[in-house]
Formats: sequence, structure tokens, C-alpha cells
Amino acid sequence: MNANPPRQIPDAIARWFDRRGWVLRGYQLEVLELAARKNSALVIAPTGAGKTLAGFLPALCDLARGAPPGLFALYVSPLKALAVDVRRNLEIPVAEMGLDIRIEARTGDTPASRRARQQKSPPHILLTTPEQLALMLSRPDGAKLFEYLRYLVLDEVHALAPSKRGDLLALGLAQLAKLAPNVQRFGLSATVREPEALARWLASGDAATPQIVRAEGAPAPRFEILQSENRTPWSGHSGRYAVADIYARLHQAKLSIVFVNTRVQAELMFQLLWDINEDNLRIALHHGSLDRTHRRRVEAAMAEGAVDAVVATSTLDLGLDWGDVDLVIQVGAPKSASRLTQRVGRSNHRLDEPSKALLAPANRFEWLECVAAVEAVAAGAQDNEPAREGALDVLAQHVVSRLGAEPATADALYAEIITAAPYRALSHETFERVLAFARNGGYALKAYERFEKIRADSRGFLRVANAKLLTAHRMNIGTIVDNPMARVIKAIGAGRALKAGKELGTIDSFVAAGMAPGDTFYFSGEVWEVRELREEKLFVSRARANASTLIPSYMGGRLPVSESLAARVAELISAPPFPYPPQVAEWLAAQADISMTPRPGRLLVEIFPRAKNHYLALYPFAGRLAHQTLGVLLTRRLARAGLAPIGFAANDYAVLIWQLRPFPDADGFFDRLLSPDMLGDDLEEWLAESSLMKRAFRNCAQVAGLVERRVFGQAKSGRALTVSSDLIYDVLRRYEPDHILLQAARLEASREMLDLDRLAGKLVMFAKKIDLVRRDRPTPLAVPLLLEIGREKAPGDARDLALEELGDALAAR
Amino acid sequence: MNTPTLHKFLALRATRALSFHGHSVELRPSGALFFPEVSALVVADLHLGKALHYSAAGMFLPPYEADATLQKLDAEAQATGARTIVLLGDAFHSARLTTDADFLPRMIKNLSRRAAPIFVLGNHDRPLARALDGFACAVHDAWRLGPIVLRHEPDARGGPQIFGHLHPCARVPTRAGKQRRACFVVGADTIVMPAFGALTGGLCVTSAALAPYALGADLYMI
Repeated sequence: MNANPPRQIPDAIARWFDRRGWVLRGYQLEVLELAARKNSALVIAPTGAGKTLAGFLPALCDLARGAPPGLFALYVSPLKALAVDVRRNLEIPVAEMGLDIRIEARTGDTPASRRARQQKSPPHILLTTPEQLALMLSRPDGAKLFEYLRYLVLDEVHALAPSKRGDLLALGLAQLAKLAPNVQRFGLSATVREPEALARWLASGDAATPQIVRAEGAPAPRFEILQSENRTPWSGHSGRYAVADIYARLHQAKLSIVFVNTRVQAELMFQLLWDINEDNLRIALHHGSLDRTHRRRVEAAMAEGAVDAVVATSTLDLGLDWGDVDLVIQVGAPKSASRLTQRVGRSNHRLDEPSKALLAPANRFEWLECVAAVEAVAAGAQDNEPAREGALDVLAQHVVSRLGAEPATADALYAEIITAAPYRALSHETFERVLAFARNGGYALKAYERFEKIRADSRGFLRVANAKLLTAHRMNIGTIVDNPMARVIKAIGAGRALKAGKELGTIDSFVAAGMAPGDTFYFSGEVWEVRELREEKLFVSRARANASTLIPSYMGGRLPVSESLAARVAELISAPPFPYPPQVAEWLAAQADISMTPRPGRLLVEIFPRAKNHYLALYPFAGRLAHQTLGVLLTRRLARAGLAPIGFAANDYAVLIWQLRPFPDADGFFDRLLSPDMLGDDLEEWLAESSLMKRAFRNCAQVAGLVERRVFGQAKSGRALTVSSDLIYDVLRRYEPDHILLQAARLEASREMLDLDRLAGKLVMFAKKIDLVRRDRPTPLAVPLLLEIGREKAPGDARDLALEELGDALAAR
Repeated sequence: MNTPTLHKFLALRATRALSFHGHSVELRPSGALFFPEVSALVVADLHLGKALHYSAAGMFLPPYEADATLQKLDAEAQATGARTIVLLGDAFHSARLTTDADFLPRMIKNLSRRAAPIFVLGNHDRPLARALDGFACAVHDAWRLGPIVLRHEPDARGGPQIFGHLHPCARVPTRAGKQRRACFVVGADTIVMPAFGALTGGLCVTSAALAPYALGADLYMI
């Protein structure tokens, strides 16, 4: 304790700190001061700096002086598991302090009976998720529930705010500000580039803008980039070449986390490490598809020191610290400086010592990205989260919840909604259309007025038409739309006597549907053989790996490189000297020699023949998603020009297109080809038919309540009677192309699947600034992409074509 | 690995003529089936009024579904020049639209302009039977062509039969990843028709209800 304990700290708590020999840090005291002055705060601190404690201290101090008969502090975290863990971590000190406080968690896993009790007799501190808060706010008795609420603690706000869940939470904050105007808000965040924007988000609902409080800087992390004896590969993401080096490092640490970028890479890295695990190190696996109990077991083992290393995906990025990690290894591209900082923060929590991390790039472009990321972290650079426009499907959902809680006039509702930061710029016209959608579908053809979900009374107050509709709506609250998943279950017995054993986790049900009995695959770090696929359940038994053993692929997990990191890489390779290990430096020098290295602010375009095809390589450094979009649009243009493109490959830095005919010599051909106007009609034409739009529409239709969320394991025989969002999409597009949900889907697709803003920015920047290089063989920089060919799935557009191949096969029969 | 050996996947990009128990049948990419010998067009599971039905529960599906389905049917009738249209059950999703005073008369009038409609009743169609009372069109539990029986639901007694009801669809592995499409399931003695309605979902051929018919069958994906 400080020599002069601040007067805000009650004796019970001060004594507890003394007994522990703990001293409050400067920023934690600052939070207490702000709390005493009735201010709110956004606390910015690295992992492990005690921010959760800082967030709860004001509430604990007040509660130590006397607890009110109701909910006093509400904590919201993006992860269910985190809410549960924080509760456990709070209960111990609270018991030791001798405080008489009830602390409970409420997540999607909390039984309905307990939730009902929590509603009737709330604990003093409730730990929950954005979805559960939205549910609580949809009830008419909200004012009563939040009567005594004084503190709101929002954890990991940097991760929540730029997402649909953040949109939902911001709308909830706007509503809560009315119900409980005196609540002080404490946001907890990792380091971000623009804390002011995050503070504005936290003030949603016209609350006072929180003060920004920063933790004292920890020493800069120490990075090392792995220099393997083996050659760094041209392409690929497995990191296979470096496994022996990584394994050697695991020996030198007590507890290591080996971070990879996707679940497939996690399964593979785990296999590769065990293949050479001669010293029987205890190596575990942690990723999002594994069963929850398995993950909890791994976390507990980390805390107890019962494992030596864990191979993990982003599931260990956020949340509590498990055990005393002393080494973080990042295999593959770091993708962004902020993400790298977060991951490195997982190791070594003594603030006086630097964290240590080893970066193991999986290919040569990733080498460059690692160098750039290390520089960026050293310079304290963070990545930009672009200001976010709130999603309209989330708004449609909120409107029903909000009116279910308390009737309001359209004007009052609009005024409240635009106090939520993501909806500040929402036009009145768009609001009216969202409201019309929520009322009766909002179709130009007025077909459903007699079924209205929301009705206006004579004074213009809008309310949900009946209790049954509101109950159905509540089942649908939330913004996370899962892919249909199949459960992987261990089989006991065989044939007709086959029974379900332990559940191992879930895999994409499309992947499961492609498996046949006898196939083997890696899951949860073991090899399994498919015994039977029954409805949405895949029954498996242990097996031995063979040559065709698969690692099932999963959606997602492949983020594009951040804009600022890509820009650093572009800068790095623009001119010699190239200060890298010889392989990489030689590669870049050869590029400078044979072609040229990309120059900042200009677009390098290379064309060369190979075998019978003609290749076009572009280096916009705009990230994988934007490059895939560019690949699709360019192949369409080239096809129209009669140049017969065959396909394209894209990575974070470049796009490669190949075709049957040579490129014309005409002046300005590439200026025209790459003109930003491709984002007009070309884009619209493609997008309308694209499977991406259907996927985005499916998400929006579920969130907005147009179709029911498919509750896992529920739909058995009723599939034929459920409504396919793809079919709705087709009908809507034909009959009402301006419908608000199509607009919502369009926004989601362009933002999350196409990276359109980023692509547009680059195309405009590069207009008429093209460095064209013609060569008679592949250039060194294009080699990684040449090797990617065939690894990527064909783009959405090629799906019909691929189906047609079946037709051709049929014709040839 | 990875390719189920239980069925053969075939893309139905254009009309495909087959012989089924001595009769020539054409599978059409729209999901309709045509008997050229008797000039009969067969469609199953239109589920008209599905959007209306759901909207009563607060799920406001686009109100254009019935029009979209009937336009497609009209185009098929015109393209084949059919003299008879067999609606193989579940023409209507629920009583909501059948009891609409205008809809059914208008629908029958429009259909009759092209061909004589024959209603084969399905599990959703009980209210339709009553509503059809005053109209001069044929209503049956089954329709026959030689040895072939056409019903809405499969007949457990077996024999050559064509039915709908199950809304078959399949996931087919292609070069562009797996795709889910509605399909005709063509076995030695059975043809299961895909649903024709604009908003009708599908049941996977691996599901328990469809597996007996899909095993060893040809799947014509539409």
C-alpha cells in the first residue's frame, strides 16, 4: 500500500492489499479519483497490468461501505468464458476482504431458472455478455432491474466496438442511459491507435465522455525473428520448415504459447510438434472448434503448470491469463501490430521486465511482414480501426427489443438511436425504412399490414403487437450467426448398436457432409475415422493416419494484413539495402535486377509468359480480401476483352492472373484495365450473383429476424419446412432490389468480405501511376503466387462453371 | 476420398430425357417433369402462400413468392405446350391463401388458359380440397400413367412411382467447393421430385427420410 492510502479506499480493502503486500499502481489510483468525482473512464493498459481490478475497484469500495438491495455493478465481456472466470477471480478477494456481496455470472449457458431468479433478485455484481444485456434490456421491468445500478464495467472494448456485437452494445448503452442516467462507465481496452474514438463509443447515449487513463508503459517487448537452418519457403502458411527450431525453443521455456493464425494451422502445427516430440514435452492444443470442456482443461493445466506448451489460435488472444507464460511464439504472419502486441502481452507479467517473443515467418513475404511488425511495435504504432457505420440488421433487431421494453414514439426512438456512436450519422429516412421493416417487412407491396409486429396507438406510441411475438423475438437476440455445424462424436459399438460417446467438438457441416465412412481426419490433435454421418452428427473412432488423412478446413480465421503494416512492408522492399537473412535479401535483389521492386505510391504491374499461358502480376499491398475482389473484377474485364483469363491467385501483397492470350501492346491498356470505374457496374453485376452476397444476406436475415436462427441440434426433420435465405434473396432481388435488408447485406459484404473501401482507396491512388514491366519469364516477386495456384478455392463466380463441368462430363458419357 | 460413393451426381443444365418403366420422361432444369406422350407437365410442392403463412408469425418473407412461383409455372407450361398440368401435392403451404377469396379463382383461371390443372392432394392440402369444391378441375389422391403411380407422398407398397413431399437436395463436391442444390432423385423404381416453389427449402438426400430412395440413385442437380 502507498504510504498514504487514498481516502477512497475503505479499511477492509486497504487491509487486504496490505496482507497481500500489493501496491496500487498510479493509474489504478487515478481511476479511483475519477470515480470519486463521478466521472467515467476509458482505461488503456496492456494485458496483465491489472485493468480488471482497476475497473472493479470503485464498485468494490462503495460496496464495502454498504451494499444496496439490488444490482450495483454490471460487467460486460465479449467472451462467455471470461465473464465466468472474472467472477471466480473476484469472489476470492471479496471473500478474503470479508465483504458481504453477491457476485454472479449470466451467459447463454446459465440455466433459465437461474436467469429468472437473477431478474427477480439480482446480485450486487453481475458479469455478463452483450447478448445477455440486450436480453435484459428487452424486458419491460428493466427500470426496476437497473434501479440501483451505479457502475458499468466494459471489458476488451477495443475488440467489441468495431463489430456487430459492438453495434448492439452501443444501442443498449443508449437505452441504458435513459433507464439509469447516473451510471459511471469504465471501459477497459488494450492499446489502440485512436482512444478518443473509443471513448466516444463508450459515451453512447449522450453520457459524459470518459477520461482516458493510461497504464504506465511496460518495457518494450523483445522480439526475435527465427533464422532457421532450413530454407524459408516461397509460399504456404504451415511453418513446417521451422518445426525443429520451434521445438528446440520449447525446451528453454517453462510455459510457451505457440500462436498460429487458423485452426487448420493449429491442428497441423500440433501434429508436426508431436511427430518430433522425442522428449515427451507436454504439448496441448486450444482452438475454437474444440469442445468447451477440452479447452477448460487445457486452461486449467496451464494455470497448474501441467503443460509445457500450448498451440493456440486467437481463442487465447483475449481473456484471463492462464499460468506463467514465459515465451510466446508467433508462427506465420502477425497481420497487425496491435494483434502482435496483444499476443506478446501473454508472456511475462512482471511489468518491470520485457515480454519475450519469437516470430517464425512461414514464407518469405511473411518474413517481411514480421520485420515490419517488429518495427511498428517498437515505434508504438497501432493499427487503425476505421470509424464504423452501425449495421442495419442489428438496428432492426434492437428496434423490436427496445419497443418491447417500453413503447416510444418514432421521433423519440430515432432521437435515442442516434446517440449511439455507430448510428450517429443514421439518416431519418433510413431509420424509417428500418422501422418499416420491423413493423411489417417494409415491402413496397403492402401485403402484411394486418400482421403488424409493431403497432402505433392513437398518440403515436409504438409497441410490440403481442407478447407471443416478443417472446419469439427474444429467442433471436444476438448478432453471431454460426455456420451450420456438425457435432463430432466418439462412437461406441458398431452398426445398429452404435451409440454416442464423448463429444469432441464441432466442424463445418459442409465439410462433414463431404466425408464418407472410412475417411480419416485430424481433429483435436488426434486421427479419427468416420464411422457414420447421421443428421448433423459425425460418429468417429480413433484411427491411424494414412496418406490421405485430412485436416478439415474451417471458415474464417484468415484476416487480411492491416493497412499500416502492409504500407510498412511496401516501404521496406522499395529500395536496397535489404537487411534480411540472405535468402530473403537475395530474392529481393534478384527482383530489383530482373524487374524492379514496387515503388511507394505507384503500382508495379508485371507481365510474363509461362508454359502456354500469359501472366499478369500486380502488387497493390491492399490485403487478401481486397486482392481477391480485384482478381474477380479483373478476370471479368479480361474475359470481356476476349483475353480468356483462366484464373487468379491472391495473397496479402499481390494478385496474379493468368490467361490464354497475350496482353495487347496498346498504349494505356493497363490504365484502362485498372481504372477505378470497375467498382461501378462491373462490381454490381458480379456481386448480385455472388455467393458472398448470399452469405451476407443470410447473416443479416437472421439477425434482423426475417428468418429464425437455426438453433443447434433442433432442426432434424423439419429442414424442408424451414426457409432458405438464399431463396428469399433471389425473390427479393427480382421483385424489390432496393429493400433495406439487401442494403444491409451489401454493407456487410463490402466491409467484411470484399474490403471494398481499401480496394477503392488503392485504385484511386494508383490511377495512371503504373510501372509496367514486361519480361519473358516469371519475376522473383511473382514466384510465391505462382506456387499458390491451385491452393485457393475458385471464387464464387466459378461455382456455376464448376457445376457445369459435371454437365460436360455427363455429355461426354 | 471425399466423394460419397452412394450416389451419382449429374448436373441438369438442360432438359434431359429418360425412359422410366416404358414411358419417356423429361427432367427439366426448372424442377418440373414432362411426359411428352401425354403432354403432361408435373410439378410438386409449390407451397404457395408460404410467405403469408410465416408473416403471420412475424417473419415477413417477401410477398412476391406466389407470383414468382406461378410465373415460373406459366413459363414452363408455355415452353412445353403441355395440355395437362399435374400439381403433385402441397400446392399451398397453408389455408391462408386457399381461403383468400380472389387468389384461387384467379390462379385456376390463369392455369386453365394454358392447360387443364389436376390437383393431387398433399399433406398441406386438406383445406384445398374443400376450397376446390366449386371448381371444375380434377382432384385426386393419385394420378396414373401406365404402371407409374404419381402421388404426393411415397407409397410404402412400392411399385414404380413418382412423388414429391421430401424436397430433395444434395451437396455436391465441385472444383469450386461444395454446393447445395435441389435435385431429382432418380432410382430404378422411384423418381423423387424437387420442390418447385420459390421459397421452398430442401432436405438433404442423406437424411433418414430420403436415404432409402437416394441410395444408388442418380441425382440430377438443378
